[in-house]
Amino acid sequence: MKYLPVVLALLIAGSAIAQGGSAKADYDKLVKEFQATTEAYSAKLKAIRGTDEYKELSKKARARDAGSTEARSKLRALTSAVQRPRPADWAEKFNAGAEKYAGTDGAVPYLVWLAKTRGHDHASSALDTIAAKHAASAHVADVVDMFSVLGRSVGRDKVRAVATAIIENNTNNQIKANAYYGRAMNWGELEGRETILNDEEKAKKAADIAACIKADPDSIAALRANAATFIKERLQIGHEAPDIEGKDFDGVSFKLSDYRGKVVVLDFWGDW
Amino acid sequence: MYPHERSLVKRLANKPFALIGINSDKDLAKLRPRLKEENISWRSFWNGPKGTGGPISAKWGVRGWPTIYILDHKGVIRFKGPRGEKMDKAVDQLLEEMGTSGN
Repeated sequence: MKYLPVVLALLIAGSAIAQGGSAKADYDKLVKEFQATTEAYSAKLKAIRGTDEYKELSKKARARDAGSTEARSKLRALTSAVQRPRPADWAEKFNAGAEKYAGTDGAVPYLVWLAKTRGHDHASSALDTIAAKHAASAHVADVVDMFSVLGRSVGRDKVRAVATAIIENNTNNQIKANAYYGRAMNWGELEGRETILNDEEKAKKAADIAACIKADPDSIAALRANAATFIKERLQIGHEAPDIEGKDFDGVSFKLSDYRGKVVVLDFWGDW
Repeated sequence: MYPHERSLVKRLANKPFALIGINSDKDLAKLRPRLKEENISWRSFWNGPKGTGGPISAKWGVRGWPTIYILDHKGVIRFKGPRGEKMDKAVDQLLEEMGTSGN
């Protein structure tokens, strides 16, 4: 029976792999279901809004006359025919996944989803679990991006605690850079709100910014962390504009400096 | 905003002028038909799949869209932020400095 421990070890390893595999498959399936439900809802809503009846009622509702109140309630009746997917309902499903795979790395994507998604009661405890058990996981990459936003929903102290746990336990430099940046932002905005910080907080923030840039100088977090300095030193009126290298919509590389000799309007834009 | 940009690009088609975008849309497949619809002919850098979280806007510290910089023919930043008529005036002033009036 001297092989028994080896056999047992293999069995355990095998089941762990199987569980890891199915955790990901389960998670991907749930995300797809959620997306499909959300898209189906949007499509139905769009269809309703495209009907002549809806357009006619919208006109009446905007008219601000005696009939507009009635028109508004009719509009509501039309759109309430389709049920909006409630984040709270979906959070229960993601929470069930997190509980099913509790303690394994497979739980992390579920916890990250819960932490990132608004409109339910599990975000705060998901962040606690991430900080306590999963701060070293590679899957936390998707939540460190969100720290500046999360502060508003779950509170700054919580975000700071999660960032600190990730900084202390995670070995991925890009994730660490992001966590440092998140914690730096947590001390106060990088620009404009400097004055509300006391000296100790200012020093901690400066240290986090320096640590972020050092952890992964090429990361987007490091670029952001350095942006206030970059604006001050490189982007003032009278400065020669820093070059930009990138690709256009056809994938063709070009540089801003290709346009030297011309007056250039540089427009950071988006179609929204 | 597109109508103003279109008219600026059209008016200065034969001048030493370029409108260069840094586009922060996440999804190029969704953007492509919009480029046709809106007749967006000017060239843009694409900020990548992270959209407003992409590398170019991160480096330049851009937090609001649109953000405008106007450079003279030597590549020096001369104006930050002008839109509409103020943008037209700024560009015309820089073209005049070069000896090529916008009108």
